[in-house]
Amino acid sequence: MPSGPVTAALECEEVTRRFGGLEAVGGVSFRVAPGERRGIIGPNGAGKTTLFRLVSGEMPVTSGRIRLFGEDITRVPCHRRTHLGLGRTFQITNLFPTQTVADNLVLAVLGRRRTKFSMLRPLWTYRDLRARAEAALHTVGLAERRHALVRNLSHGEQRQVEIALALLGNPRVLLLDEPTAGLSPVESARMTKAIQDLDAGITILLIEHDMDVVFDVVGHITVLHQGRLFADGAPGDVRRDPRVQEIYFGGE
Amino acid sequence: MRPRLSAVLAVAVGLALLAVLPPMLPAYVVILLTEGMIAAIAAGSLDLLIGYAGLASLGHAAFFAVGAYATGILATRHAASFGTTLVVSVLLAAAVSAVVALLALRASGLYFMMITLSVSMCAWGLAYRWVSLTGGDTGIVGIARPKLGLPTLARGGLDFYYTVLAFFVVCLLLLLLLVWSPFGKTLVGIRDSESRMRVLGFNVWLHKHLALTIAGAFAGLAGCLYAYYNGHVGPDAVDLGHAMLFVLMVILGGPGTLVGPLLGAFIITFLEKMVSVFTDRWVMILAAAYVVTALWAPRGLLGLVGVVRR
Repeated sequence: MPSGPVTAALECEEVTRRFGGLEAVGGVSFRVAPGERRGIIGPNGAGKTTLFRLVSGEMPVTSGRIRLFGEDITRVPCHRRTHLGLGRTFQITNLFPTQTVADNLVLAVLGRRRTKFSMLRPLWTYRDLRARAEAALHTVGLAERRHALVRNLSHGEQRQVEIALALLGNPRVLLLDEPTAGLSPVESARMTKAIQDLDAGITILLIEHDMDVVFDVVGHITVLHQGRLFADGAPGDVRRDPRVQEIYFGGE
Repeated sequence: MRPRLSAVLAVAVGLALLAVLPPMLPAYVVILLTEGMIAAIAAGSLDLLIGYAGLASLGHAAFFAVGAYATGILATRHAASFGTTLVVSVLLAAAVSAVVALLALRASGLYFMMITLSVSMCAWGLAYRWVSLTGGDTGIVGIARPKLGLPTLARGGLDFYYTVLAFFVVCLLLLLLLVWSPFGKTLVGIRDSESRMRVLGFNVWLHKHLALTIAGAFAGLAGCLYAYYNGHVGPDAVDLGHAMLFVLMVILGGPGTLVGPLLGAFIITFLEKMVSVFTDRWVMILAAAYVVTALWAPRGLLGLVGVVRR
């Protein structure tokens, strides 16, 4: 997608992260236009998840700049970035296992509301919070499981909650870290459909190993390899790129 | 999640018994109940940290001691009224807790525990060595119980009992509201997954800091009541044994249940006094009780109730 005069939804400029001598992400620059759906692929250890952690603010960059809709967020703490419109899901399911599905969703709604500091009124008296969580329950099809503890859900159901939590923050830019990880083919297809059906206004960055999912969802692919930006382009071109085939399938 | 009706009824019956029974009970039981309620205020607020926020603090006795010493010093040397000592104790303990939190929250898990442990030990060192302020080993003696102008009840000690009961009920209601509130739920979220909470837009540090400050305020209140109850405040109120006692009340009763730790506070208070009659090896009995809890009831006494229900 051309990076014209429009402000990029997300822009990384020479983003670098070192762990001691290891450069996990090195000088990665790219722009993602508003509404774009971008796939991030690369072999294990390519730095994909680290890149997400840098963009979401869970980890500080060693150097470089990150901009969200033109605003420099390089030094903005993680939780503030959420309020600026960034959302994220985790590769390894990261929920509130001792809490019910409904309470997991309520926490996600609270994240962006001042109500989270309210101390003297029981949570169950907040109808608007519950209504919002209830709507999300129906969207992800977990309405019958609302009172189940999240740790008792199947892996597939947990992945659905994972996405639901991120969406309840009303993200403008959504980082999806392997949403189909560990899902059966049927569940994976359903998840792919769910991602395709997301509001077209949400800019999506998708890390995914399942190429079928990637090609179904995204219009543009960025390939990372050993922490560096390796290739960039339309899905078909990237798939045919012999260098990309080399790093995925080739040996020495 | 709404509380079960059965749980609400059980708490209501417990409070009703605490209100009705004392005139009929022997004096020493009333004294133990008074001490139990004071310990319960401290243990309940500690559960906010251990059970809800997942912050294993060993520093609670230090904030308790801030309240106790502030009350002792103000009441004996400056003839301060009950109202004054109460307000100063709560505010000072909250302030000290907020400052300690700045330091302790730089770490998490085991390291957080170690920092709060060292805070407890520093508090003990100050109580023991800062003789001009704390009276050193002797402590502060002769703290007279407040005259509240309550109608004189049939027997001495009962009016102080009912004063403590009033504070106990108010604290219990405040703590219950807190754990039921949206803020209380955010503490549980932090216990379950800090990283997820951050990504959802929560300033995790701020929520933990508020929890520590609030719990410190409750501990200060308990310390204030303790000073009047005991008539004497010494370094033993601050020592490590006391800090561990609060933690044990929480673990024995069931962390994250609030009511459990209150129960734990009463049980440990009674056990301590009763066992002390027969043997000096109170700490050994306590340790045994802890081992039994850890092995057979890792979720505490209230956890056992849950198991029976299922």
